[in-house]
Amino acid sequence: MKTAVNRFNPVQDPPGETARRPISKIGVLPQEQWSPDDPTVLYEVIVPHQVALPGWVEPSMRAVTEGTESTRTTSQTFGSRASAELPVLRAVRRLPPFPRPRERFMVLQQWEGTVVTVSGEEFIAVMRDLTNPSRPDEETTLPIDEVPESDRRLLVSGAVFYWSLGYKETLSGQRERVAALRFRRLPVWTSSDLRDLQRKADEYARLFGRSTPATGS
Amino acid sequence: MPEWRAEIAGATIVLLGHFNPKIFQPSWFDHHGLIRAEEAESAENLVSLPELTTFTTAWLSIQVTPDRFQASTIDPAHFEALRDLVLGTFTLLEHTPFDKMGMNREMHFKVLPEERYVEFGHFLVPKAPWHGVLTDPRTRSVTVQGFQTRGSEQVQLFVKVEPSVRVQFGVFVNTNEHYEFSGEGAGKRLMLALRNHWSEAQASAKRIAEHLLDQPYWS
Amino acid sequence: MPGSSADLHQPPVVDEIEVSLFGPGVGESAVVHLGGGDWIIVDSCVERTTGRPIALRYLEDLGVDVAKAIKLIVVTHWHDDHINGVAAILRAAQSARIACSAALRSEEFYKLIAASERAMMVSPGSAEFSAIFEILTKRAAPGVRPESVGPDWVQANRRLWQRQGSGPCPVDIFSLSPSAASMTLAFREFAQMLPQEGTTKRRLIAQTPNEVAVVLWIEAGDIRILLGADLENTCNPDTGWQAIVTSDARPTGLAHVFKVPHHGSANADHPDVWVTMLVINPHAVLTAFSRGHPLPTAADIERLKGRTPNAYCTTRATRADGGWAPPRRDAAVERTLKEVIRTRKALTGPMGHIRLRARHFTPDSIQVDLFNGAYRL
Repeated sequence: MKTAVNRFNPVQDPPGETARRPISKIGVLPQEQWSPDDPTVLYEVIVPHQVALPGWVEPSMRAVTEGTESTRTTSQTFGSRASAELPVLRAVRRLPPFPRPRERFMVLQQWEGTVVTVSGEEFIAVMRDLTNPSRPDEETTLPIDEVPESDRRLLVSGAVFYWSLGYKETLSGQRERVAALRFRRLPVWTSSDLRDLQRKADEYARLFGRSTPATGS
Repeated sequence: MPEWRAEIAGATIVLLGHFNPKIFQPSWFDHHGLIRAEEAESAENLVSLPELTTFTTAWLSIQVTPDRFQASTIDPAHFEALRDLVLGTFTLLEHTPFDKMGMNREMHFKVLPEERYVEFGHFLVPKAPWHGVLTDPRTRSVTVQGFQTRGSEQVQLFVKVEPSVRVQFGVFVNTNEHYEFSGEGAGKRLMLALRNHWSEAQASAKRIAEHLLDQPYWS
Repeated sequence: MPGSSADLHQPPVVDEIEVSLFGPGVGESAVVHLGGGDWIIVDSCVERTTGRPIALRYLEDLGVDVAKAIKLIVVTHWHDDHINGVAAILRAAQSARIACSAALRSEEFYKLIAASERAMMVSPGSAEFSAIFEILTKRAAPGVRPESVGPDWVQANRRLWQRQGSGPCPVDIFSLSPSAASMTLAFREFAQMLPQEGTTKRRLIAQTPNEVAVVLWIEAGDIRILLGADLENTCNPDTGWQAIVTSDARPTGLAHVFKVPHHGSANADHPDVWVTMLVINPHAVLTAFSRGHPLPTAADIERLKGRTPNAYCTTRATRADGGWAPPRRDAAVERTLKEVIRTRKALTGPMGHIRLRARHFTPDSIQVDLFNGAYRL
């Protein structure tokens, strides 16, 4: 069954489960933030182990229910029960990977860019076509405004980014052109990294030797 | 041949091993520069338990249990960012023990006209053997496993094809590329495989789908 | 002078020397036939459509057995545009030795290669070197001395390859660079590029002038060839072209064929090279470079025309910015590009090819053929 809120979800519902999808939730949200009919709860998560909710659980928290039965009304409220009376819950391993997406993206063209120079309000990058790798690389001048504020510190020579052009479509049917630029984010160099570099360099040196300028040998 | 463009697409990286879900908070990823500060601050659906951490950002969905780490996106513009996030995470957490990895793609393609869409199902699973025991047999789901070469290795692939429940007259194709190593350094080897083979895996997923859809079952 | 497509696939005869220079706008590769079916390859670039090195494709089209016929591969320096596809050539050319600048045989450079991998931001240059090292390590026979595993590490005034008895004529190949002083500068440059703890990971990009390129001097019969790589001038007389011109250890003689260094740029022009190392009106060949400030400039072209009437370039950009029109994409993409970007150019065009051949290794018989957009200056 295709529902409007699930229209962009790339994951298929297993056969027959849509009708039996449980509405239960993990009880970590304070009650004022959700209700059994809360449309903003986007997915159901069921803890895949036997768990006993700890005694410090807020009275307003609700329990996870078992299995795949539709259980709109079977969730229990923990009032002032002592921890010894908390039910042990068995669980079903099923973790839908995507929340109900509100938009979908159609990428028409994607490049991988390497920043060559940054100068004033613009930067120059060499762009490799990821959509059609047989096309020639391009040298492009882009305005710095295209770079999100939180990525500006990453804008240095040698930095790598992805630039994706296409459309975004919302559940309401609105379609807009988008150009999304995102710098590659990887951990900074750590001392462990640098030790690894030294180890690899030593390995190469053992295999291939080291030059000294005077002799070159 | 028409150019096939997925109406809806998703990518997921799954790792199986031993994880501490509590680590994987949005703030942790932000602290290490793996996501933007704004993305961490606006993370939604945050669930944080010793047995489970899950949250979503504009483009990312993370779910971690003690034996499974899963990162997903439905934004093709962020497929590379997804790879980088997993690579960066387990470069930092280099001692985390895990030994299996799956690279998954989900794609939904519209196949028109309707007669072509119906014929595709019959092409994938010929119905002759079912006549006599079923009336109006239809293809519900097909999964095929096989191998492809990645570098110098043979990698196991699982390909599932079903009618799409999202796209009218749509075909859903899911590919799962499975890696498994044992012993010390298995995690490091899996991250090397992710780094080296991610682009090829993405291209391969698309090629597999296009190859099936381009078969001459319809004229 | 312009060759026909039929001529393109005609291999040289056994006593015919050939120098073929390829270049599509970024990247270059020289393929040299030394007679007797012996070939060398100097630098590499790939065809965009196939991703394969043009040198391999050319030789295969000529019917050459690349596994046996390629004797030497020279990587003149580590910049991306000269090394793309070298590992594939080395894999195919199982009889070939590979030679690299000795300036790369340094802990600093090894760390840079390792850093590229570790940063997961591999550039073609570093990826090719990683692959070259891996191939050489696998090829090494068990128990062989470590010094024998690696490439031939080249520096100034060394013989790289020689053919004496067999073949139609004797051949000598010498390296004229890098000098010891250049190597010291290179080590310092590499050290400055090394990552520091706490800094962000980025791609390896060469920033400083090229002082460590391998310049080759080839003598085959009566013909002499000077392949200038990308070597540039510096203010230090112990480096760059000055060091070569003033060296008394280099081979004597005057070259008939000159691969003009660094795309004909003024930075790489040294008048004494033309006076003391080249015959009058040599055959000069060069590749174009379309990134950044394109080369050769109009002034470079005029200067080269003043030096020799026999100057040829592999490619001519179709636009004033030194590039080519980018391919058109989806209409929505084109609309966005028009709104957002300031400038844009494709960096490569057709793979131009200049071919020089001389029968019986006599300089007077040099024949020039131009293919796929190559032109005379």
